[in-house]
Amino acid sequence: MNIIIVDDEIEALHTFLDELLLESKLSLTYQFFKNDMNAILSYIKKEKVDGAFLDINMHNFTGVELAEKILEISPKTKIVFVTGFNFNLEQVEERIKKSVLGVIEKPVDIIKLERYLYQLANQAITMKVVVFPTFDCYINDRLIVFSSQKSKELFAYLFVRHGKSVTMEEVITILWPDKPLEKSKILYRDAVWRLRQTLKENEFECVIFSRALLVLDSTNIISEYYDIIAGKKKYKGQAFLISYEWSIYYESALKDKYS
Amino acid sequence: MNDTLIKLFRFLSNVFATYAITLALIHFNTANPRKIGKKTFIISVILLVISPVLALFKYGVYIQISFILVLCLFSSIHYGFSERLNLFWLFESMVIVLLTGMMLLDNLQLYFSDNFYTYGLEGMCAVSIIGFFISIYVNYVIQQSLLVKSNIINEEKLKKLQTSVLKNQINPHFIFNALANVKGTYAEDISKGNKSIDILSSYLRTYLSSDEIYIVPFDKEMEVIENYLAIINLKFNEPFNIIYNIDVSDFDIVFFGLQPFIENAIKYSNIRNKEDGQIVISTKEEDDAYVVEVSDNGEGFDTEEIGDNSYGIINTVERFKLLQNASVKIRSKKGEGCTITIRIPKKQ
Repeated sequence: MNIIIVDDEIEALHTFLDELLLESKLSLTYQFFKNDMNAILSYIKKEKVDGAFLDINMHNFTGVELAEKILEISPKTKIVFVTGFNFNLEQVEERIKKSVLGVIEKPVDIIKLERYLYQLANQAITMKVVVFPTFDCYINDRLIVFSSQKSKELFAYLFVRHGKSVTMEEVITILWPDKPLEKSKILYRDAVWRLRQTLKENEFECVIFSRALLVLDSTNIISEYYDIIAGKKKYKGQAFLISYEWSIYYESALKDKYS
Repeated sequence: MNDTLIKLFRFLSNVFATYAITLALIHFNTANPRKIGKKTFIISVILLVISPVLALFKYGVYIQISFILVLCLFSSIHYGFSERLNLFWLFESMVIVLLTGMMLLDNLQLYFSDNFYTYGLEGMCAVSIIGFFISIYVNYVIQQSLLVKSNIINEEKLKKLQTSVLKNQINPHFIFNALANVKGTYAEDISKGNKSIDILSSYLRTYLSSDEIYIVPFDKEMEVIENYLAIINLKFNEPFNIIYNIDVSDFDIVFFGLQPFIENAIKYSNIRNKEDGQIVISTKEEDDAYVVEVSDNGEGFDTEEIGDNSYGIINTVERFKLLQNASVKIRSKKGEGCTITIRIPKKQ
């Protein structure tokens, strides 16, 4: 996949892209341009460009004008606008808007940038979940930090339930077995909210939150545990989710059915 | 027997006519037909009770008619020459004067000659009632134009309030302190430093673009609060103990409506120095409203002492009232923490 980045202040994107590409599994080539219209257009005429990251506020012309010219030459190129402040996508004409993936705000958030790059590459972002011996989640080898232990435990429980919906009462009995009901309801809502925010921040909203139920959509989740459950691997007796007391039941299921 | 029946009929029609006229007069004397002024209420009670009774007596009817005529006169002076002069009202008052004049004549003839049929009286009742409904419609039209006027005034008021919220929030101290904390975070860990820059720019972006935005979805307000908390937490090793008791989140709330209360709780509750100190943000849905609560179990304060320092709070309470017709209750006692309850009525 080939992308171009246009900004009259190039250092901004440079650092992020370097950092990103060190970790990323995408095979990516990229080219930087300052606001030299001729250089950009002649490059586009010669090379195939899958995505163009264009700064909006530049000196001689705007990112939108540049996008128009690029699309004339290469209509299949996807555009991502990069803006400092206050750019409204609504004001862009329909025919250009069709090719726009979205807008990134400066300073560039690496998670958003990653999301657009994966979108360009038509690849889904996957989450890797580790359960032996403790529960941890990674997106592109980046560890997900949960804002509270209980919200992490809640996610672990949803993960282990493997797509089955889960009720508030069920979660309360598992996560707060010793607390009075009213107090645990408050803690439940707190854990649910925190989990929701964490998944939103990481642009991986894989849980359906409704008032009565929670369900995990495990479509883009990879895990050795899921492989074992699906019969693709055998359970070798490793320590399983040792931080959570309720894992004992699932561990014994592993031993009995999947060894 | 016949005689008594006729007399009874006349008496009842008289009561009815008086009642209709009184209602019309009450209507003319109040801006809001549903709100009846005390004075007018007392006068109308007197009229309703005394006047039909007066009509039973031979010359009592004169007193009754004069009473009503005087009221009409008073009404026309008060209403006609006040802020709103309109033609329908003038027509109405003329009709009422005519009405009462006819009633006078009618009654005179009734009491001096039993053979006269009371067409006039029934006619007057009918006109009076129709007139009453016409005046309600006219008043509705007046109310609509007043509403437009007050909307314009409200909008100006709102703009003023909004500007001061912004001025208050882009507090230079806050920004420079935050920048200093960001710099400090880099000393720990580069990715943490990068993250804190993202948080600070998200915070700034929100404030700088909030000019024309008055109401937002609850999720968006929570973003503001979480950003704010993230910046505050940069200073500390352990974050503030906040509990999100969020039961419902698909409703709208005043932009920067919740944040000033959180800011106050952070600044004044001193929960860091209390064991089990916490701030709880709760939401719940009731039949007719969404209720949002911010409560802490910190030091609390004497609610009588809310003075000039709490301009931000007064401003916020005003905006809730103007934008969402929402009420804000602040309950606090020294040593017993503080609870803010915001009731946002559901739109019909």
